[in-house]
Amino acid sequence: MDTYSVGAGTALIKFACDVNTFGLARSRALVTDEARTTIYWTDVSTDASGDITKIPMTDATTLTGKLLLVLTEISLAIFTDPNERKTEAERLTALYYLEGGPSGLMKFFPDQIVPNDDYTKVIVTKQIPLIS
Amino acid sequence: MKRLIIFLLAAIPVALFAQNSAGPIQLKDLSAPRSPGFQLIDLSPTNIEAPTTPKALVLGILQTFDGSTGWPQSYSMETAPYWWVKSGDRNAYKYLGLKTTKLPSGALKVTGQDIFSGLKFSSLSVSFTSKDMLPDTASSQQKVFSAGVRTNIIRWYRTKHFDRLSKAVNDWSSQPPSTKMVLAMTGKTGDELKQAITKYWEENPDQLAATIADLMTEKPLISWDIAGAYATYGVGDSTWKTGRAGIWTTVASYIPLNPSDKKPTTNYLDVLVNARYMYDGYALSPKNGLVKSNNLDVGGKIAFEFNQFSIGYEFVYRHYFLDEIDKQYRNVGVISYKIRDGLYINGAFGKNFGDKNSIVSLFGINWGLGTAKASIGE
Repeated sequence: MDTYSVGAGTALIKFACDVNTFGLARSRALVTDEARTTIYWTDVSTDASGDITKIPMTDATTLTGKLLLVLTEISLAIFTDPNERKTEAERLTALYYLEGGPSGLMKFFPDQIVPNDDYTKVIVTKQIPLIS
Repeated sequence: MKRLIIFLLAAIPVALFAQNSAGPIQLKDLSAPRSPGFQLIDLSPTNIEAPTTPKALVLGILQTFDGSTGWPQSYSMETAPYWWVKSGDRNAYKYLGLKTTKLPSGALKVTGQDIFSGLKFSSLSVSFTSKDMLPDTASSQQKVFSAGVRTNIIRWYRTKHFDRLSKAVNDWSSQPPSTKMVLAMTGKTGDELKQAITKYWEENPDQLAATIADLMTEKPLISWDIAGAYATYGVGDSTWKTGRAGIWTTVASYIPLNPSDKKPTTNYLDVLVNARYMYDGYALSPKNGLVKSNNLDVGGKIAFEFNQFSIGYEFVYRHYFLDEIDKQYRNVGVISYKIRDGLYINGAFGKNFGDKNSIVSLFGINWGLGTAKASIGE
């Protein structure tokens, strides 16, 4: 599993999500603890691109030992042809960027890209443990 | 030329396989041909074609009534290269034809219609058929290979349609995944994730996405297309010669006939105007037999579309620049009927260019268009 070293102290860690598809996309990213009981930070896409613009999450000390979770929901229902939906489901991509830690800017790829049976919907997920 | 033929014969089956990698190609994956190459040789059900939603790959197959082999004689493949180019800046607005600006926050805001959005989906096509293209006394058929290009220059929708579409997209994007959903889904893998998300989608149907998909079937108020094609004929066993080459343009208007609150519009009055310049290597001169000629076609089409049924009339006047060849006409009636979702019948009957015995009698079946309305020429 991918991890990102946030370091320590008050350095702000930044996050961005870049979804690449002709389908409708919307995303949410959040930071939670291992038990997934507390939300320390969250942000969402604000348009149908599904992108989350590079934004400071919080400081490294707060993020250490937490999980960054990202989920993008994509609708391919706007493509009337089933083969086209299947092609788009296989072609769509998402990239995640973290910056501000000792390792600088890092790029991550999705863990899972899961379409439904008729390819009208696709879910893209990513989980990144944030370590010290 | 032999190499080209071998390539095309190899490429079409490969493309057929690529179209449906889940299994062998099926009839439902094919559609009645509408490639520029078929239009150039007057083989399409209509010479004045309506614009369509851009598609990654369209495969065509056509059975003509006058063929006696029992197998279709005509095949085509059309694709828009933009679909296959790796690009990092794709988003739904570009597909939907919505112009955006980036706000200081980084979010995209819809500012209007992108009337030129069809340009990037310009398509290339190749097609093959056997047809008697030489207007002489012999009735032998020639093999015809053609290549074409087609692009939509302008596509402009009613303001009401634009408002509905941009509002629906904005409403959809303002409902991001819930925190609960993210916590429940991320970390799951494989079948476990698929089962969880399928259950979630069943319990939370995406009505807004369905509304946007419906709105996408609406036709533009004004559309302007340009296409061109080149066709070569197999004359004899091993001789290939330029048959025809042409460029043409169509301006179309789709006037909604539904009440204004009906969304999306499903009934239209279609008015299309078309002009085509064509080189014909085998025109028939009454004095000198087969001659090379240039000609200009000017015509139009009017059609009514009512939900599942559409009916129209197409008229084209052909002027030859050689004085020795008389002007010619094409008068064709075209009908289309939607049998059920994804299954359509198209027909064209009437008088084609050429001598007075040249009759159009085409019958094509469209499969797999989903909920998209099949109109004349699509």
